[in-house]
Amino acid sequence: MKRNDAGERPFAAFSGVFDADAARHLLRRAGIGARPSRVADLVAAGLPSAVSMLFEPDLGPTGLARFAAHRATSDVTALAAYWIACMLRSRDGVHEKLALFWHGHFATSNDKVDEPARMLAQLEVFARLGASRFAPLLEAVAVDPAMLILLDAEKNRRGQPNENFARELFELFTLGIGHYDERDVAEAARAFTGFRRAGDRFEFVPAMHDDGEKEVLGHRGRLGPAEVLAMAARHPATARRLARALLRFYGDRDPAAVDVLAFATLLVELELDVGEALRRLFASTWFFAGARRAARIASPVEFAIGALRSLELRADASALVGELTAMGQSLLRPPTVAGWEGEAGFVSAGTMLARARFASRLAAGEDRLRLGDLPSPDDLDAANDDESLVAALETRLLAARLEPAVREAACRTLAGCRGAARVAAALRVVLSCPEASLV
Amino acid sequence: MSPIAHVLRMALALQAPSDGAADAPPWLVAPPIRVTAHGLDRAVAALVASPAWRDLHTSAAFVAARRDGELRELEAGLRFVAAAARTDLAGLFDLVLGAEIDFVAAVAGEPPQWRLVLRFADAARAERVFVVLDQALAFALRGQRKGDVAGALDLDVRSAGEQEFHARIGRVVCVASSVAAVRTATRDAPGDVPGGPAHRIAFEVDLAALRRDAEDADDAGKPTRDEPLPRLLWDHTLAVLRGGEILTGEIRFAAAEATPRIELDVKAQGAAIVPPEWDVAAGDALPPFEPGSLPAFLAELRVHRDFAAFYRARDRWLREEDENAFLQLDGGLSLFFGGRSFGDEVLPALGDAASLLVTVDDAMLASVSRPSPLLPGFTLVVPYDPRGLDAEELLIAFQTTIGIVNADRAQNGKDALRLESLERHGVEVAAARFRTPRDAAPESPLAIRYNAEPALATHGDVLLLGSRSDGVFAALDALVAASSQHPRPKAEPGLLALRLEFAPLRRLLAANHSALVGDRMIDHGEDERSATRAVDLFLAALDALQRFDLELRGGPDSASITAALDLRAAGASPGAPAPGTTR
Repeated sequence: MKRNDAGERPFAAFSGVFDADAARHLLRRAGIGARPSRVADLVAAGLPSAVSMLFEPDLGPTGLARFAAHRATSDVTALAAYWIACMLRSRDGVHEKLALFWHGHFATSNDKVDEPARMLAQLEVFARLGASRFAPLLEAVAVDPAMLILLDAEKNRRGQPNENFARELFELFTLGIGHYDERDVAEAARAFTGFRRAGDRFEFVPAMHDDGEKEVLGHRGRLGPAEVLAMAARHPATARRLARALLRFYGDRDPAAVDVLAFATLLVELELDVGEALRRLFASTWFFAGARRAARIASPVEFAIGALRSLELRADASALVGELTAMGQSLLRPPTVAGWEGEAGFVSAGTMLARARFASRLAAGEDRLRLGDLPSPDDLDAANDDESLVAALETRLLAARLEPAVREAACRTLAGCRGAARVAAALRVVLSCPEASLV
Repeated sequence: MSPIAHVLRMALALQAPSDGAADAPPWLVAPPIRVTAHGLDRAVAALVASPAWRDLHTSAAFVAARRDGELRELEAGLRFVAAAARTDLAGLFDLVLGAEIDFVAAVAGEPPQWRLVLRFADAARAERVFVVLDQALAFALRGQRKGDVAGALDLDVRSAGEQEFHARIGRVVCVASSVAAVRTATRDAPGDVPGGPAHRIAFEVDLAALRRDAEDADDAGKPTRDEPLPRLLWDHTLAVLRGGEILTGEIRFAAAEATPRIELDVKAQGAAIVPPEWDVAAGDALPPFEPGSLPAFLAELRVHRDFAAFYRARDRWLREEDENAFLQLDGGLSLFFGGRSFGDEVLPALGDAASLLVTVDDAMLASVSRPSPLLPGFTLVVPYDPRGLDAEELLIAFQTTIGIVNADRAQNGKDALRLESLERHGVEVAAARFRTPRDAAPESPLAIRYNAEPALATHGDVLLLGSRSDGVFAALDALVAASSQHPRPKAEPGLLALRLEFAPLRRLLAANHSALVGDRMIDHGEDERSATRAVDLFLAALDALQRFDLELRGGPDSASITAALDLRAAGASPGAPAPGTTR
């Protein structure tokens, strides 16, 4: 494994103390939110076992799919709600978060697809193959009907190639700009000809496929889809591009080039087994370094769903769809084919106000954003004083600690509040702080 | 609010104050809502012995499961009290409901004033209930009970909170909002409880006073729900009752019958109760056909109303923000009728009655490629005046509608509907169907029966419009069968009548079991086990029910609702189709 500038092996196993703070960091980054019961379980298990526990089979999108199919396949808002319900219901949210990563990577919008059933099928592909090697996932996505609709596969015919899929394959899904040229795109487009829609399915029709000789990424031959996808997947630039995307999504808003290179090397060693690479990442020195704590801006999913999960609250998932949209993350409708920019891309005056409004409405229990009561101070392990209550909520909800002055101000807002209203007031103020948007 | 008052108000769904009632106790400054009940122990005992009891109990559990707070606590409280009384829930009902019950409340002011008097046949039973009550209040208040009231040594008055005092004297138990009220009640109670027939609960509400005290006059007069359809069906309908001066009602139990039945009669009296558009002077304009004979009949909603007048008075039932959309709809509808004004020309040609028939269909959503839930089918039966609106115009409007739908579907790359002309009893039925092969093998994915393949027919002066041609055929069968029989006198028209059969409804919902579970998982954040339990309990509750009938009638100075809920008959199996019915 490569060493960084300091001569360290950044992705070597973490040997520090794996305490409750570290477990919360692990849960918030690998999954969505940190449920107190899971924090205790992971600490008791120790880091290596804890990471294995995260990846154990869970509900997964397909768990709800058989129940929700009737709504999810006809109404994209219902499908988004179904996915959110999975995020809320799952054990740690690890599988759902990985599906969200791939949803941003292979960004497919129902605005173009206009068939929620296809979007659900694509989510199921991410759930099934997202934590395995990259090549099979790429192959599955390349024949995924939603992707074929998104990138106009039907218009890609022998003699009249449409370059949309080939271009996005190289630019966004694998190599990245600078590692291919226009000729590669044009030739690869020919390799992907031959898909035709047949009722509910897409089928490959050999007679419609351009099986002539092509040259792609320096390889010449009668290349078909499988050959082009395999070349793109094993290209060194793909490992680097994937490495940066994963480190940015899970670890650091701007990972150092040397760390990206080291993680790319690890990915190549693991034959681009993303699941295994993430296991190494989540158990690494790099992941638990102080510089990685509270070092990212939480996505709306991490912020809102994470808060609900950390407080062990139930919610009407349908009500959360609009909340996430207001915060800038409209599930199943990514803004561009490049997905969400993430980090500062989620921050604007409007979206931050939406986060504050969510905090307020969650605390008040409005619009079914939470079902059931807020935890009591006892549930939060808080003493009777206001400072203890605020501190308890900080621990539950925030990756960062509040400045003393901010904490004092938060406590002042609780003056005169009693019982459940006091917890609600504390929740509103803690979740409205900028620190609540760090993860 | 005190626990008992809270529970009673939930049960009665009555809010807000009233003033003045001749027989109200003098301590009650602004009475009242008055509820009296007699002989409930016998009704409940018979109910407990009926086959529907288990399912009704699961129904209560389902309701409790749906409500996170209050009802769950109530159920837990009932169980606690039953345990304290060393009896089961049915025994508890027998114990408590063995009394003649008199409840009077004035909800105005702070603290609210109310009084509940239970008069028992013997002192021993009263003593036992008093102990149980003490336990119940202790449970409800979670240890905040204060115990004996100082200075009330002449009477064993207990305090169970700031506004809850209870006492027993002889065979009378009283719970009230003040010590003074308890004293008055226990002094007067032996001769103060009015008598009445058994198995009944009677209530009386001063509606005029409720309206006067409503905080927002707009809220009282205008529907408040967000969704237009529930507003139209529910709020506007209930406005007929809300418009009265005095509301009286009675709930009767006939639990000893083979088919246990709960009947409700509510009557509102006062001037100008029924809005003009409701005033249907003519007889029943619907042909006397038998809806219960339709295959898989689930429900029928009959409405008698002057639709044109109702349309003109839309500002009374539409919110301001909806009215512009409504005007656009009006303009759009005119396009379907050759430019004729829908409100001024088309609607007056339709009769003042409509029947919406609902059946259990085995069709699927047209837009869904995966198995979709079993859906109901709908058929609308509307009399019309051929002199104002001929059958040809109706057919053209139908064809225009299908054409527009097809244009939209074609733009989105979806299958188009094709128009077909079918025939039944010599009547031409215009049907729109998808182009999927009709001869596809049953297991073929193409062998889909779509739920939205509309059809239209005219039979005499009756228009039939259905979500599928099957429904129109069945309605035509019923019409033809009725016309071949001896003509029956047309019934006195009610303003609205609803019949609902629970066995087909249960079958419909059971077929969508997994979808209902999914809905709960998404909307209520429940896990699969909990969601499945809730759905199973709901279906079990439906097993207890057989049929629901509701009728709303109105005249110049009164309006009434009669409702009857038939529970499952002894020996009937859950989910079995209900026997045929005659209206």
